[in-house]
Amino acid sequence: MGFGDLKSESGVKALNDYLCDRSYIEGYQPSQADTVVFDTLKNPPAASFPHALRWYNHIASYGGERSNFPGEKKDVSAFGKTENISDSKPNKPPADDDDDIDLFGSDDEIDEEAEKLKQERLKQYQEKKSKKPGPIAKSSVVLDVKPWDDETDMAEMEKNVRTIECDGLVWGAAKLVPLAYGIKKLQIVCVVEDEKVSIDWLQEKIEEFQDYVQSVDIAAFQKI
Amino acid sequence: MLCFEEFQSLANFLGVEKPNVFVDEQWKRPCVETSAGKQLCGLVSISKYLTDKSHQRSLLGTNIEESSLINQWLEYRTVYINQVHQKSDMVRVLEDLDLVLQKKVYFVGNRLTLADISIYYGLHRIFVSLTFQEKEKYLHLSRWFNQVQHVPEVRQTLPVVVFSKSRLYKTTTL
Repeated sequence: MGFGDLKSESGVKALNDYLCDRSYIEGYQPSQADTVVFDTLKNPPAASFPHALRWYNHIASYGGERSNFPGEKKDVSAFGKTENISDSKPNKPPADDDDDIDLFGSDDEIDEEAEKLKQERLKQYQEKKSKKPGPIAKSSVVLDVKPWDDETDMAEMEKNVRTIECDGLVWGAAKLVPLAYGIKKLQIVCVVEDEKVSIDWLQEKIEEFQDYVQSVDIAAFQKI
Repeated sequence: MLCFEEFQSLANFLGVEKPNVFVDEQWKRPCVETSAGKQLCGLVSISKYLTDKSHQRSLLGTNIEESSLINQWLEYRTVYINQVHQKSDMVRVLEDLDLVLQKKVYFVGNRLTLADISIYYGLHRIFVSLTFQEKEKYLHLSRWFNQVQHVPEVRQTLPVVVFSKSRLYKTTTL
Protein backbone atom coordinates (compact mmCIF):
# COMPACT_ATOMS: atom_id res chain seq x y z
CA MET A 1 0.00 0.00 0.00
CA GLY A 2 0.99 3.60 -0.39
CA PHE A 3 4.08 4.88 -2.05
CA GLY A 4 6.47 2.66 -0.21
CA ASP A 5 9.29 4.37 1.58
CA LEU A 6 8.96 8.04 0.67
CA LYS A 7 12.47 8.68 1.87
CA SER A 8 13.86 6.35 -0.73
CA GLU A 9 14.12 7.13 -4.41
CA SER A 10 11.63 4.44 -5.40
CA GLY A 11 9.03 5.93 -3.09
CA VAL A 12 9.45 9.38 -4.57
CA LYS A 13 9.28 7.87 -8.03
CA ALA A 14 6.00 6.18 -7.15
CA LEU A 15 4.70 9.50 -5.85
CA ASN A 16 5.89 11.21 -9.02
CA ASP A 17 4.11 8.70 -11.23
CA TYR A 18 0.98 8.95 -9.15
CA LEU A 19 0.91 12.75 -9.41
CA CYS A 20 1.60 12.99 -13.13
CA ASP A 21 -2.09 13.46 -13.92
CA ARG A 22 -3.24 14.66 -10.53
CA SER A 23 -2.99 17.98 -8.76
CA TYR A 24 -3.70 16.62 -5.30
CA ILE A 25 -3.28 13.28 -3.57
CA GLU A 26 -7.00 12.86 -3.14
CA GLY A 27 -9.76 14.44 -5.17
CA TYR A 28 -9.62 17.95 -6.57
CA GLN A 29 -8.75 20.05 -3.55
CA PRO A 30 -6.03 20.06 -0.91
CA SER A 31 -6.84 17.70 1.93
CA GLN A 32 -5.22 16.06 4.92
CA ALA A 33 -3.96 13.45 2.50
CA ASP A 34 -1.66 16.08 1.01
CA THR A 35 -0.55 17.21 4.45
CA VAL A 36 0.31 13.68 5.58
CA VAL A 37 2.28 12.85 2.46
CA PHE A 38 3.93 16.28 2.51
CA ASP A 39 5.02 15.89 6.10
CA THR A 40 6.39 12.42 5.41
CA LEU A 41 8.62 13.84 2.70
CA LYS A 42 11.34 15.61 4.58
CA ASN A 43 13.00 17.23 1.60
CA PRO A 44 11.62 18.53 -1.67
CA PRO A 45 11.72 15.87 -4.39
CA ALA A 46 14.62 16.08 -6.79
CA ALA A 47 14.19 17.93 -10.07
CA SER A 48 14.14 14.60 -11.87
CA PHE A 49 10.68 14.04 -10.39
CA PRO A 50 8.86 17.04 -11.87
CA HIS A 51 5.34 16.00 -10.92
CA ALA A 52 6.21 15.33 -7.32
CA LEU A 53 8.15 18.59 -7.17
CA ARG A 54 5.30 20.59 -8.64
CA TRP A 55 2.92 19.12 -6.11
CA TYR A 56 5.44 19.70 -3.29
CA ASN A 57 5.84 23.37 -4.19
CA HIS A 58 2.11 23.80 -4.50
CA ILE A 59 1.41 22.29 -1.09
CA ALA A 60 4.33 24.20 0.42
CA SER A 61 2.73 27.45 -0.74
CA TYR A 62 -0.12 26.93 1.70
CA GLY A 63 2.26 27.26 4.67
CA GLY A 64 0.56 26.92 8.02
CA GLU A 65 -2.85 26.45 6.38
CA ARG A 66 -1.83 22.88 5.73
CA SER A 67 -2.95 21.71 9.14
CA ASN A 68 -6.43 23.07 8.46
CA PHE A 69 -7.05 21.21 5.20
CA PRO A 70 -10.31 19.27 5.16
CA GLY A 71 -10.41 15.51 5.40
CA GLU A 72 -9.17 12.95 7.85
CA LYS A 73 -5.62 12.32 8.77
CA LYS A 74 -4.76 8.77 7.77
CA ASP A 75 -1.59 6.83 7.76
CA VAL A 76 0.60 7.66 4.83
CA SER A 77 0.35 4.11 3.52
CA ALA A 78 -3.39 4.57 2.92
CA PHE A 79 -2.78 6.94 0.02
CA GLY A 80 -1.68 6.45 -3.51
CA LYS A 81 -2.11 3.30 -5.46
CA THR A 82 -3.14 0.15 -3.71
CA GLU A 83 -0.41 -1.95 -5.29
CA ASN A 84 2.79 -2.55 -3.43
CA ILE A 85 5.73 -1.31 -5.38
CA SER A 86 8.97 -2.80 -4.28
CA ASP A 87 12.43 -2.14 -5.54
CA SER A 88 12.49 -5.58 -7.11
CA LYS A 89 10.24 -4.52 -9.98
CA PRO A 90 11.10 -0.91 -10.67
CA ASN A 91 10.33 -1.15 -14.38
CA LYS A 92 6.67 -1.69 -13.92
CA PRO A 93 4.78 1.57 -14.35
CA PRO A 94 3.30 1.62 -10.90
CA ALA A 95 0.40 3.97 -10.94
CA ASP A 96 -1.12 2.83 -14.19
CA ASP A 97 -3.20 -0.22 -13.43
CA ASP A 98 -5.04 1.12 -10.47
CA ASP A 99 -5.21 4.55 -11.90
CA ASP A 100 -7.09 3.15 -14.80
CA ILE A 101 -9.55 1.45 -12.58
CA ASP A 102 -10.05 4.62 -10.60
CA LEU A 103 -10.51 6.80 -13.60
CA PHE A 104 -12.73 4.38 -15.41
CA GLY A 105 -14.73 3.86 -12.27
CA SER A 106 -15.70 7.47 -11.96
CA ASP A 107 -16.10 7.90 -15.70
CA ASP A 108 -18.34 4.90 -15.92
CA GLU A 109 -20.63 6.37 -13.34
CA ILE A 110 -21.04 9.50 -15.36
CA ASP A 111 -21.48 7.50 -18.54
CA GLU A 112 -24.02 5.24 -16.94
CA GLU A 113 -26.00 8.16 -15.69
CA ALA A 114 -25.88 9.85 -19.05
CA GLU A 115 -26.80 6.58 -20.72
CA LYS A 116 -29.73 6.10 -18.39
CA LEU A 117 -30.94 9.62 -19.05
CA LYS A 118 -30.58 9.04 -22.76
CA GLN A 119 -32.55 5.82 -22.58
CA GLU A 120 -35.29 7.51 -20.63
CA ARG A 121 -35.52 10.33 -23.11
CA LEU A 122 -35.55 7.86 -25.97
CA LYS A 123 -38.33 5.92 -24.31
CA GLN A 124 -40.35 9.06 -23.73
CA TYR A 125 -39.83 10.09 -27.30
CA GLN A 126 -40.90 6.71 -28.62
CA GLU A 127 -43.99 6.69 -26.44
CA LYS A 128 -44.89 10.10 -27.74
CA LYS A 129 -44.22 9.00 -31.26
CA SER A 130 -46.33 5.87 -30.96
CA LYS A 131 -49.26 7.81 -29.57
CA LYS A 132 -49.26 10.14 -32.52
CA PRO A 133 -51.16 8.41 -35.35
CA GLY A 134 -49.10 9.95 -38.12
CA PRO A 135 -50.08 9.98 -41.78
CA ILE A 136 -50.91 6.58 -43.25
CA ALA A 137 -48.80 5.79 -46.28
CA LYS A 138 -50.99 4.72 -49.17
CA SER A 139 -50.28 3.74 -52.72
CA SER A 140 -52.44 3.78 -55.80
CA VAL A 141 -51.70 0.75 -57.96
CA VAL A 142 -52.86 -0.06 -61.47
CA LEU A 143 -52.75 -3.77 -62.15
CA ASP A 144 -52.82 -5.45 -65.56
CA VAL A 145 -54.55 -8.80 -65.33
CA LYS A 146 -54.08 -10.88 -68.49
CA PRO A 147 -56.35 -13.72 -69.46
CA TRP A 148 -55.37 -17.00 -71.17
CA ASP A 149 -57.16 -16.36 -74.43
CA ASP A 150 -60.00 -14.50 -76.09
CA GLU A 151 -62.52 -16.98 -74.73
CA THR A 152 -61.90 -16.08 -71.10
CA ASP A 153 -64.92 -14.52 -69.47
CA MET A 154 -63.59 -11.11 -68.58
CA ALA A 155 -66.64 -10.12 -66.50
CA GLU A 156 -66.28 -13.25 -64.40
CA MET A 157 -62.56 -12.56 -64.01
CA GLU A 158 -63.19 -9.04 -62.74
CA LYS A 159 -65.77 -10.36 -60.32
CA ASN A 160 -63.27 -12.88 -59.00
CA VAL A 161 -60.55 -10.29 -58.59
CA ARG A 162 -62.92 -8.07 -56.67
CA THR A 163 -63.66 -10.87 -54.22
CA ILE A 164 -60.19 -10.39 -52.75
CA GLU A 165 -60.83 -8.36 -49.67
CA CYS A 166 -58.64 -7.36 -46.83
CA ASP A 167 -58.05 -4.51 -44.42
CA GLY A 168 -56.49 -1.56 -46.16
CA LEU A 169 -57.38 -2.61 -49.69
CA VAL A 170 -59.91 -0.68 -51.78
CA TRP A 171 -60.73 -1.59 -55.36
CA GLY A 172 -61.29 1.17 -57.85
CA ALA A 173 -62.44 1.43 -61.43
CA ALA A 174 -61.65 -1.25 -63.97
CA LYS A 175 -61.63 -1.28 -67.74
CA LEU A 176 -60.86 -3.67 -70.55
CA VAL A 177 -57.96 -2.78 -72.78
CA PRO A 178 -57.62 -4.60 -76.10
CA LEU A 179 -54.28 -6.32 -76.56
CA ALA A 180 -54.23 -8.24 -79.85
CA TYR A 181 -56.20 -10.85 -81.78
CA GLY A 182 -59.30 -9.93 -79.84
CA ILE A 183 -57.67 -10.61 -76.50
CA LYS A 184 -58.35 -7.98 -73.88
CA LYS A 185 -56.65 -7.41 -70.58
CA LEU A 186 -58.30 -6.16 -67.43
CA GLN A 187 -56.85 -2.97 -66.07
CA ILE A 188 -57.96 -2.41 -62.51
CA VAL A 189 -57.12 0.33 -60.02
CA CYS A 190 -56.74 -0.27 -56.33
CA VAL A 191 -55.62 1.78 -53.36
CA VAL A 192 -53.62 -0.01 -50.68
CA GLU A 193 -52.24 1.02 -47.30
CA ASP A 194 -48.55 0.23 -47.58
CA GLU A 195 -48.27 -1.16 -44.07
CA LYS A 196 -51.22 -3.49 -44.31
CA VAL A 197 -51.20 -4.83 -47.87
CA SER A 198 -48.26 -6.13 -49.81
CA ILE A 199 -48.51 -5.86 -53.58
CA ASP A 200 -46.70 -9.18 -54.00
CA TRP A 201 -49.32 -10.85 -51.88
CA LEU A 202 -52.06 -9.22 -53.93
CA GLN A 203 -50.51 -10.37 -57.19
CA GLU A 204 -50.24 -13.93 -55.91
CA LYS A 205 -53.85 -13.83 -54.76
CA ILE A 206 -55.05 -12.77 -58.21
CA GLU A 207 -52.91 -15.37 -59.95
CA GLU A 208 -54.61 -18.00 -57.82
CA PHE A 209 -57.66 -17.68 -60.13
CA GLN A 210 -55.85 -19.95 -62.55
CA ASP A 211 -58.95 -20.62 -64.60
CA TYR A 212 -59.06 -17.03 -65.77
CA VAL A 213 -55.75 -15.37 -65.02
CA GLN A 214 -52.57 -15.99 -66.92
CA SER A 215 -50.44 -13.28 -65.34
CA VAL A 216 -50.60 -10.11 -63.32
CA ASP A 217 -48.37 -7.08 -63.85
CA ILE A 218 -48.10 -3.76 -62.15
CA ALA A 219 -48.87 -1.12 -64.75
CA ALA A 220 -48.45 1.87 -62.50
CA PHE A 221 -47.52 2.43 -58.90
CA GLN A 222 -47.93 5.73 -57.17
CA LYS A 223 -47.49 6.86 -53.60
CA ILE A 224 -50.29 9.02 -52.36
CA MET B 1 -18.49 28.44 -25.84
CA LEU B 2 -20.36 31.48 -26.90
CA CYS B 3 -19.39 34.60 -25.06
CA PHE B 4 -23.00 35.08 -23.97
CA GLU B 5 -23.02 31.76 -22.15
CA GLU B 6 -19.58 32.42 -20.78
CA PHE B 7 -20.69 35.68 -19.15
CA GLN B 8 -23.78 33.98 -17.74
CA SER B 9 -21.64 31.19 -16.25
CA LEU B 10 -19.09 33.63 -14.94
CA ALA B 11 -21.75 35.80 -13.32
CA ASN B 12 -23.27 32.68 -11.83
CA PHE B 13 -19.92 31.61 -10.43
CA LEU B 14 -19.21 35.07 -9.01
CA GLY B 15 -22.67 35.40 -7.58
CA VAL B 16 -23.38 38.67 -9.32
CA GLU B 17 -26.43 39.66 -11.30
CA LYS B 18 -26.41 38.22 -14.80
CA PRO B 19 -25.28 40.87 -17.24
CA ASN B 20 -27.41 41.90 -20.15
CA VAL B 21 -24.97 41.17 -22.96
CA PHE B 22 -25.54 42.59 -26.41
CA VAL B 23 -23.40 42.76 -29.51
CA ASP B 24 -21.95 46.04 -30.61
CA GLU B 25 -23.11 46.80 -34.16
CA GLN B 26 -19.91 48.33 -35.40
CA TRP B 27 -17.24 46.01 -33.99
CA LYS B 28 -19.27 42.87 -33.43
CA ARG B 29 -18.01 42.47 -29.90
CA PRO B 30 -19.90 41.71 -26.72
CA CYS B 31 -20.96 44.70 -24.63
CA VAL B 32 -22.73 45.24 -21.33
CA GLU B 33 -24.17 48.27 -19.65
CA THR B 34 -22.50 48.93 -16.30
CA SER B 35 -24.35 50.01 -13.21
CA ALA B 36 -23.01 53.52 -13.83
CA GLY B 37 -24.91 53.49 -17.13
CA LYS B 38 -21.82 53.29 -19.26
CA GLN B 39 -21.12 50.83 -22.03
CA LEU B 40 -18.36 48.31 -21.53
CA CYS B 41 -17.15 46.19 -24.44
CA GLY B 42 -14.86 43.22 -24.89
CA LEU B 43 -14.32 39.88 -23.25
CA VAL B 44 -11.49 40.85 -20.92
CA SER B 45 -13.00 44.08 -19.69
CA ILE B 46 -16.39 42.54 -19.02
CA SER B 47 -14.85 39.53 -17.22
CA LYS B 48 -12.79 41.81 -15.05
CA TYR B 49 -15.66 44.17 -14.41
CA LEU B 50 -17.91 41.32 -13.27
CA THR B 51 -15.19 39.91 -11.02
CA ASP B 52 -14.41 43.28 -9.54
CA LYS B 53 -18.07 43.79 -8.71
CA SER B 54 -18.33 40.44 -6.91
CA HIS B 55 -17.19 39.35 -3.47
CA GLN B 56 -14.41 37.29 -5.01
CA ARG B 57 -12.02 40.03 -5.98
CA SER B 58 -9.10 37.82 -5.03
CA LEU B 59 -9.72 36.08 -8.37
CA LEU B 60 -8.09 39.16 -9.91
CA GLY B 61 -4.96 38.61 -7.85
CA THR B 62 -4.01 39.75 -4.39
CA ASN B 63 -0.88 41.63 -5.34
CA ILE B 64 0.45 43.57 -8.30
CA GLU B 65 2.47 40.65 -9.65
CA GLU B 66 -0.51 38.35 -9.62
CA SER B 67 -2.90 40.78 -11.21
CA SER B 68 -0.39 41.63 -13.92
CA LEU B 69 0.03 37.94 -14.73
CA ILE B 70 -3.71 37.47 -14.78
CA ASN B 71 -4.00 40.34 -17.23
CA GLN B 72 -1.42 38.70 -19.40
CA TRP B 73 -3.33 35.39 -19.44
CA LEU B 74 -6.61 37.09 -20.23
CA GLU B 75 -4.85 38.73 -23.15
CA TYR B 76 -3.45 35.38 -24.24
CA ARG B 77 -6.97 34.02 -24.14
CA THR B 78 -8.31 36.61 -26.57
CA VAL B 79 -5.27 36.88 -28.79
CA TYR B 80 -4.37 33.19 -29.13
CA ILE B 81 -6.99 30.82 -27.78
CA ASN B 82 -9.95 32.59 -29.32
CA GLN B 83 -8.13 32.77 -32.64
CA VAL B 84 -7.65 29.02 -33.01
CA HIS B 85 -9.08 28.19 -36.40
CA GLN B 86 -6.71 25.54 -37.69
CA LYS B 87 -5.08 22.47 -36.31
CA SER B 88 -1.67 24.20 -36.38
CA ASP B 89 -2.97 27.09 -34.22
CA MET B 90 -4.42 24.59 -31.83
CA VAL B 91 -1.23 22.58 -31.49
CA ARG B 92 0.76 25.73 -30.77
CA VAL B 93 -1.62 26.92 -28.07
CA LEU B 94 -1.78 23.51 -26.44
CA GLU B 95 1.97 23.11 -26.48
CA ASP B 96 2.50 26.58 -25.01
CA LEU B 97 0.05 26.07 -22.20
CA ASP B 98 1.30 22.56 -21.47
CA LEU B 99 4.79 23.90 -21.03
CA VAL B 100 3.60 26.63 -18.67
CA LEU B 101 1.77 24.14 -16.47
CA GLN B 102 4.70 21.77 -16.24
CA LYS B 103 5.75 23.14 -12.87
CA LYS B 104 2.53 24.71 -11.74
CA VAL B 105 -0.87 23.61 -10.63
CA TYR B 106 -2.64 26.81 -11.65
CA PHE B 107 -1.69 29.52 -14.12
CA VAL B 108 -1.20 32.26 -11.56
CA GLY B 109 -0.09 31.79 -7.97
CA ASN B 110 -1.15 28.67 -6.18
CA ARG B 111 -4.89 28.97 -6.44
CA LEU B 112 -7.72 29.29 -8.91
CA THR B 113 -7.90 32.74 -10.48
CA LEU B 114 -9.80 34.45 -13.25
CA ALA B 115 -6.98 33.41 -15.59
CA ASP B 116 -7.79 29.72 -15.06
CA ILE B 117 -11.51 30.28 -15.40
CA SER B 118 -11.20 32.28 -18.58
CA ILE B 119 -8.73 29.89 -20.20
CA TYR B 120 -10.90 26.95 -19.20
CA TYR B 121 -13.92 28.49 -20.90
CA GLY B 122 -11.83 29.28 -23.94
CA LEU B 123 -10.23 25.85 -24.18
CA HIS B 124 -13.34 23.81 -23.60
CA ARG B 125 -14.41 23.80 -27.23
CA ILE B 126 -10.92 22.65 -28.20
CA PHE B 127 -10.71 19.95 -25.55
CA VAL B 128 -13.97 18.28 -26.46
CA SER B 129 -12.57 17.65 -29.93
CA LEU B 130 -9.33 16.03 -28.75
CA THR B 131 -8.78 12.29 -28.75
CA PHE B 132 -7.59 10.48 -25.62
CA GLN B 133 -4.22 10.13 -27.24
CA GLU B 134 -3.89 13.86 -27.84
CA LYS B 135 -5.08 14.64 -24.35
CA GLU B 136 -2.41 12.40 -22.93
CA LYS B 137 0.19 14.14 -25.04
CA TYR B 138 -0.61 17.42 -23.25
CA LEU B 139 -0.38 15.75 -19.88
CA HIS B 140 0.16 18.86 -17.76
CA LEU B 141 -2.54 20.85 -19.48
CA SER B 142 -4.94 17.91 -19.20
CA ARG B 143 -4.23 17.58 -15.51
CA TRP B 144 -4.97 21.26 -15.05
CA PHE B 145 -8.10 21.06 -17.18
CA ASN B 146 -9.37 18.09 -15.22
CA GLN B 147 -8.65 19.94 -11.99
CA VAL B 148 -10.56 23.06 -13.06
CA GLN B 149 -13.54 21.18 -14.49
CA HIS B 150 -13.96 19.44 -11.15
CA VAL B 151 -14.86 22.72 -9.53
CA PRO B 152 -18.60 22.49 -10.16
CA GLU B 153 -19.11 26.23 -9.80
CA VAL B 154 -16.79 26.79 -12.74
CA ARG B 155 -17.95 24.03 -15.04
CA GLN B 156 -21.69 24.57 -14.52
CA THR B 157 -23.52 23.37 -17.61
CA LEU B 158 -20.49 22.51 -19.73
CA PRO B 159 -20.06 18.82 -20.46
CA VAL B 160 -17.30 17.01 -18.58
CA VAL B 161 -14.31 16.17 -20.72
CA VAL B 162 -13.23 12.63 -20.01
CA PHE B 163 -9.58 11.87 -19.45
CA SER B 164 -8.34 8.36 -19.40
CA LYS B 165 -4.86 7.08 -18.98
CA SER B 166 -5.33 3.97 -20.97
CA ARG B 167 -3.15 1.94 -23.24
CA LEU B 168 -6.06 1.28 -25.55
CA TYR B 169 -7.51 4.17 -27.44
CA LYS B 170 -11.12 3.98 -28.36
CA THR B 171 -11.25 7.07 -30.49
CA THR B 172 -8.03 7.14 -32.39
CA THR B 173 -8.46 9.28 -35.42
CA LEU B 174 -4.86 10.22 -35.96
